[in-house]
Amino acid sequence: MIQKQTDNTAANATISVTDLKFRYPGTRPLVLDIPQWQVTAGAQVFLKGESGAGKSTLLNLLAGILPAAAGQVQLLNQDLAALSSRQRDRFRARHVGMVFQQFNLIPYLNVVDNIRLASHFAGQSAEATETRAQQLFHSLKLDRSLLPQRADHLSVGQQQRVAIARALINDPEILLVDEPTSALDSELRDRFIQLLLEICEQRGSTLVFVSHDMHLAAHFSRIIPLSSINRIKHSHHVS
Amino acid sequence: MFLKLAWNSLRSRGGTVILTIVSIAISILVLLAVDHTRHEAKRSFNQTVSGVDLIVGARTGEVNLLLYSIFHIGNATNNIDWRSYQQIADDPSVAWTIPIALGDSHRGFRVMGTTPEFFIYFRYGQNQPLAMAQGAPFTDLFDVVLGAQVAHRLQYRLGDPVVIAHGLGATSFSQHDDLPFKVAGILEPTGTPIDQTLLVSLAGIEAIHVGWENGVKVPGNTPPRDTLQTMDLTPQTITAFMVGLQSKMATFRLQRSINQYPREPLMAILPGVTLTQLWSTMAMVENSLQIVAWLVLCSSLLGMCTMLLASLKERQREFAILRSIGAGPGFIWLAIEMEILLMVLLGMAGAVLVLWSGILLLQTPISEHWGLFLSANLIHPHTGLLLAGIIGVALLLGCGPAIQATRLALHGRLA
Repeated sequence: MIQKQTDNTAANATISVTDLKFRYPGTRPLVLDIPQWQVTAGAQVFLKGESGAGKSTLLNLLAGILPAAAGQVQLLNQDLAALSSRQRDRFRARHVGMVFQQFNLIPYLNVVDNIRLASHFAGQSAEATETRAQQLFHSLKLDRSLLPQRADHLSVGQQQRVAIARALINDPEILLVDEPTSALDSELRDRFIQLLLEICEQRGSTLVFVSHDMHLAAHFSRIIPLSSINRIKHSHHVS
Repeated sequence: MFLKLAWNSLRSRGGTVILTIVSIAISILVLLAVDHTRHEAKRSFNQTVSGVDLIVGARTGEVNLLLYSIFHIGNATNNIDWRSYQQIADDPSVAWTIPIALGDSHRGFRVMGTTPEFFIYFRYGQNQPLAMAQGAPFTDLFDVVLGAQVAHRLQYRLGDPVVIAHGLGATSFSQHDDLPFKVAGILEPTGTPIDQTLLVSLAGIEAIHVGWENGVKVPGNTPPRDTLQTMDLTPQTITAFMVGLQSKMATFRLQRSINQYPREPLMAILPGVTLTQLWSTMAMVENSLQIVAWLVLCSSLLGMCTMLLASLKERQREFAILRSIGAGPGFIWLAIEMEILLMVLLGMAGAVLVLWSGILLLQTPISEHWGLFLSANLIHPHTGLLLAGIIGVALLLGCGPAIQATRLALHGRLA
């Protein structure tokens, strides 16, 4: 394990958050207020939080999809706020992979096109995509016969594994994963997480895994409750 | 990538998308059909008469004179004395004249008495002369030349007898049945009212009315055919006449002198000018048809926008996925506009196909019933502009759903 508690050395951090504040447009209260949080390169972090605690919001902020109201989000020593919206989208395409709870694929495109779409935004060549997709499919134990099938014809488990392949197709340094197993039964769930962790280790990707399910936490050496970094308490606020 | 995404997205929403495309196709069909008919009607209208410098008739409205002399619609209020006609025809600036006498019919088609000059000087379209499909212009007193549609509709051949009826009704009780005519020739189609006309000599018209008094046949008064052949059948009056001039320079001088003709109230019109006047009276109809067609188009395009807006909610997930892999708001905007472009292009293709095959199918019946020849050539100089206009309006209206989608993708909670 490469886990080390060297959070305060910002230069070594893949993800670095300082004084981050966020509220949804409108008059609603702050959802997140994180004074300080870092994730080191290659770390595999289990971020635990109840539903409605702002886990998904935090992931969207880390990915640069939502802009922070105040404070700083740095990925790979790049301040996201310093980038234009177009640059941020490009940066996300190249350096960040995302996997959501369910429905990660464009349902009406086939598997190949779903993967190609991701490499299209990162500006990758078709050949490079082809080779990498083959490797990822092999590692994820996915059959190549799935490639020409429409995404919504796959089983949920297959869809989630294709989602990992799609998220990793551009060899991103950071993988943000949001309860990817909630639609899977328990046996599949453990196999899925094992695969995810193995592939991240192989590639040295930094993984942030958010979930409310403590059963899954067993797979991780490093568990961080969201409440320990977020000053806003969501005792009974469910959005 | 845009194309693939938009195309598959549309395909995945099959039912509603097909209905939307059909609705767009119908509205584009209406727009194109109105435009094409207008174009063709104007073209055939303006080509009804050509190469005639003046049309002279009894004093009436200019449009009215044009209508009854050229379009064979309505009736002359009065006739012209033969001597007045001769005096004007003798003017040194006049090159040729074509006198016409109207008032009789055959099974609903008008009979026009004229002289052989008609076949020599009359022009239509782009200065095209009349051509015989079969036979020759009339030579005998009882010869008749048929317009193309008359021959086609009544299935007449050369040599068939034709009984002319007095008056203009399709079924007339007073027939010139004692003196039938014989088909001497059939004209090529012209796309003008001539196609629905039977042409006989002025003398022929005169001959069948010998022995009639006040428009009623007096039994036993009609002389036999042979006697008529030798009689002097110079008419007393004619309905109108067309004038060709030696030089266009004389047009206005002659027109003025005819309008001030001392012996009876006459009027001379320039056919081109009056055609334009007549067409402009239809501008209202033309414009309102076009406005209605554009409104129909807008309504179906708004229907398309409604469909897209309604689908955005369920597509929010899709936009979230696209955002997560690096799609910017611009991409999502373009993807929606691409879907609109595809639907409009498909609708357009459908409309053009239906219109084109419809014209090919209905060309003959339409030209037979209304005398309007619709060409299947849909490409007018302004068709491109029209189609571009449709696409422009569609993309503009599509900005609504596209911006809404962009907003959802930017501010929606993505999880």
